[in-house]
Amino acid sequence: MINQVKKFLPPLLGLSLLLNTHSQMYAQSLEEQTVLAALALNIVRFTTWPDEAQTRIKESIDFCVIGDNVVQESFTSINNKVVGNKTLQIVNLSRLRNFEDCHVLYISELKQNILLQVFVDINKHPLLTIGQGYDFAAQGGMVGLENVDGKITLHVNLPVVHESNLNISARLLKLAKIIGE
Amino acid sequence: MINNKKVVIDYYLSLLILCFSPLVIAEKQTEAVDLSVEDLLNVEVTSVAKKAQSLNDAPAAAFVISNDDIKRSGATNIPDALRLAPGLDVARIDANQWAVSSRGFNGRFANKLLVLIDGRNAYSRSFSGVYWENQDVMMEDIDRIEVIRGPGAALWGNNAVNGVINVITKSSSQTQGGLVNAGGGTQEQGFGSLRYGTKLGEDTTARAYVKGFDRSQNTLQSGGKAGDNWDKVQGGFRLDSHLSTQDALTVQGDIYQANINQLAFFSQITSPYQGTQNVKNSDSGGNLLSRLQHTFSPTSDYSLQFYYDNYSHDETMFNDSRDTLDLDFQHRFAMLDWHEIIWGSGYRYGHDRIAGNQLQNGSAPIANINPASVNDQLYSAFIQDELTLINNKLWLTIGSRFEHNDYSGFEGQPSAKIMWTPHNKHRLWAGVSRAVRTPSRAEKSAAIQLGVTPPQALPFPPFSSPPVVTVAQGNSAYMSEEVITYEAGYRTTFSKAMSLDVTGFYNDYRDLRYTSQGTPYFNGNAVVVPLNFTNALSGKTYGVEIATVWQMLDWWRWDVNYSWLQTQLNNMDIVSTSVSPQQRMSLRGAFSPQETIDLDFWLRYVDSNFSVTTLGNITIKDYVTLDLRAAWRPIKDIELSLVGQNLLAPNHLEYVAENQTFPTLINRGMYGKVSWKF
Repeated sequence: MINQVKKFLPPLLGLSLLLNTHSQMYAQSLEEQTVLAALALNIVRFTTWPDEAQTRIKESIDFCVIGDNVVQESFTSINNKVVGNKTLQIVNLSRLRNFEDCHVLYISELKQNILLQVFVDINKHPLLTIGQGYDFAAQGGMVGLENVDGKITLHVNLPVVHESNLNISARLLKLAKIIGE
Repeated sequence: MINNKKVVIDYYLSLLILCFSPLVIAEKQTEAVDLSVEDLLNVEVTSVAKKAQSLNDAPAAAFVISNDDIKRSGATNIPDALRLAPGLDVARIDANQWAVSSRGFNGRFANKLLVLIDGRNAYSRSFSGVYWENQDVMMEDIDRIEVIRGPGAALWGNNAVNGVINVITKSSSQTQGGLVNAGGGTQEQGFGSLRYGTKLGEDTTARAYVKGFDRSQNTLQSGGKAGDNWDKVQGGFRLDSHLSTQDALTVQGDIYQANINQLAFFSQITSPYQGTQNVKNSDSGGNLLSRLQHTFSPTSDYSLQFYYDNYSHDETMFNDSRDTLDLDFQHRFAMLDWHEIIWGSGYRYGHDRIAGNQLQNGSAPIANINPASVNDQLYSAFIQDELTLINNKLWLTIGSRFEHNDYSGFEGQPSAKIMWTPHNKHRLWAGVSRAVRTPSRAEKSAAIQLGVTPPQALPFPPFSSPPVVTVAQGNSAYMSEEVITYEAGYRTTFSKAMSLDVTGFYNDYRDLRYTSQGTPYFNGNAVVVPLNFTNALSGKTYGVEIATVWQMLDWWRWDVNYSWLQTQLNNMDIVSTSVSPQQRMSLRGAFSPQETIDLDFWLRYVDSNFSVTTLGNITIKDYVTLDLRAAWRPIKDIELSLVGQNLLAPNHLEYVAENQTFPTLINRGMYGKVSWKF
């Protein structure tokens, strides 16, 4: 039996070594969650909060994350990064409540029925919502990040952004697909 | 010898080189945070490593088999796909019968594993087990199979003693468009399926499917064809609708018809005392399920589920048909800042009819159930509270299910579990639970003729002793089997590309099924030795289950599972319980050297196991087996694949059924498949 296993191994390993050159193609690519975290940081940098919310933001911008361990791990890469004269503070949420304590809410994945109720809960709070998926923005989120054939596309739902009195810089909007206008 | 050594060294060298290549790649990577938005939107992103790093948050030995895992395994049915999970003992008895269990006690009617398909119970009360040949779905539409080892009774109910399997199909919104599969080969002689999904209005999606297959026969251990070929046709639909932003409705149903060939043996009290017959059994069934979900807030929702299920199952020994109506309610809500509560209640009504079949040679049925038909009811309620003791760090989950059924009365099945995440790369959990396996109809009220010893010539001819018949005799006082389980587990992601899941368990069983010999009596034709079902057996099992995923390269993943199981049953006069393999190992490599090419290999080792059958007690030798798969996508929506199953030997024995089926060797198989999405 073992001999038969051995028979199969050399061609398999040989084949894989031959094909290994192929991995060079991937070498230029980056891990998705890390890219999403970096994009989220930039989106925060391009966002201004209304005055009354600004005064609530003391020394740090509280960036709340709803996601699994992989997402949480990736977002530690933007923890304590400087945004204007503040620093960004990552807060991992294990419960879907007390959103008003956050300045930014990042949602990696939620069932649709629950996601819709999160948007109802947030209702016009000056809270920047960023999320993953093709319809995150269409369903009522502010900035959606969609992976289209290996590249990230931005979706911005401007009416929702404006209702919450947030402002996203034109430089970022230029790069995004605008929804609702 | 020297040559051999050189080859071995070559393996290790090449493995070593491969091991280091991901590190080299990692070094080359630019820090994403240093890039501009424009650059971030232009860079190629990869998400392959996510599976390798994701840690399950459940304080239980949970394992998820994904749609992609199933596809790449080449499995064509649910039980074969379950071989992907650690801790499960999956063995094919013949082409149309399987023995599937978790943490030991395997058998065709393995009775300690609960199986749910989209929330519908597939575990039958008749013989306490699952007719695997009747369970099927469109494999391509499976979202995931959740395998929970250990007691799940607090949440899922009776009979989730050593595990729960949840087969979950995709929402119809995720299966839009058409899909055609067709193929065939040696064992999988021919198969085809068609699914089409569409939008029915703004908020409603639906799909319908039809599938069929023809599976070839295997080889008898004694030589010759096993006569176990079968074919099946199944169709179904699913509709998902958002009635409002807060309400979602799902309606789904399936219907099937199978022709199952069986070469069965049976005992009889007249010469030649054992008969065989070739029969074509007809199995059919269907179900209709609807689920309404209302979401109050992100932390509160309820669901109301109703289903009707019907099956008619036929085999040489008996015919079993059953109708089930089930109603389930579940409500989840948060209380204060640190409680998440789920509670629910359910009601189930069953109507069955089980009868022994007349044999072809005119012999009387060897199985009798009295009464032949009953109606039964089950009431249940459960509550579970997940308490956050330290935010993001420590949780305590306590809960219990309370049930009343017509076979064992009231049952309470509590569970307490604790989970600690010292870091988001580490999860530690431990728990203690009680679960019961409720009596089957057969254990309560069947009489099944197991074997006949032919008459022996006496020293004073022409007289001879009468034949001796052993009969498994149901017992109206039969009670539930019980387990107390202690479990602990650890999950971690070592690195960006590797995760490990280890679970240890200790199960303490009491009131297990035992057959004790009653007083023999003469019925006019034969001496009858009754073997009465009693709850006299106790014992323990303990073991370790390990699952690792290693995303070695973006295009190369390894999945390795290992399980070790020790079964210790109290010494009794009659051996009446099968013992599962002590060790099982699965090594799977998934390569995608080109975006259009997938190559997979899957090597499995299964230790020897022990079956108690009417042919005697049989030890099945350990075996190693290998499956290979190659797939090529010449254009985006077409995939051609070639799968080889059980390649290392022309055939091998995996399990011997308790009765009726001769030891059957599972043949090597090859099949080709074309998939077209439109």
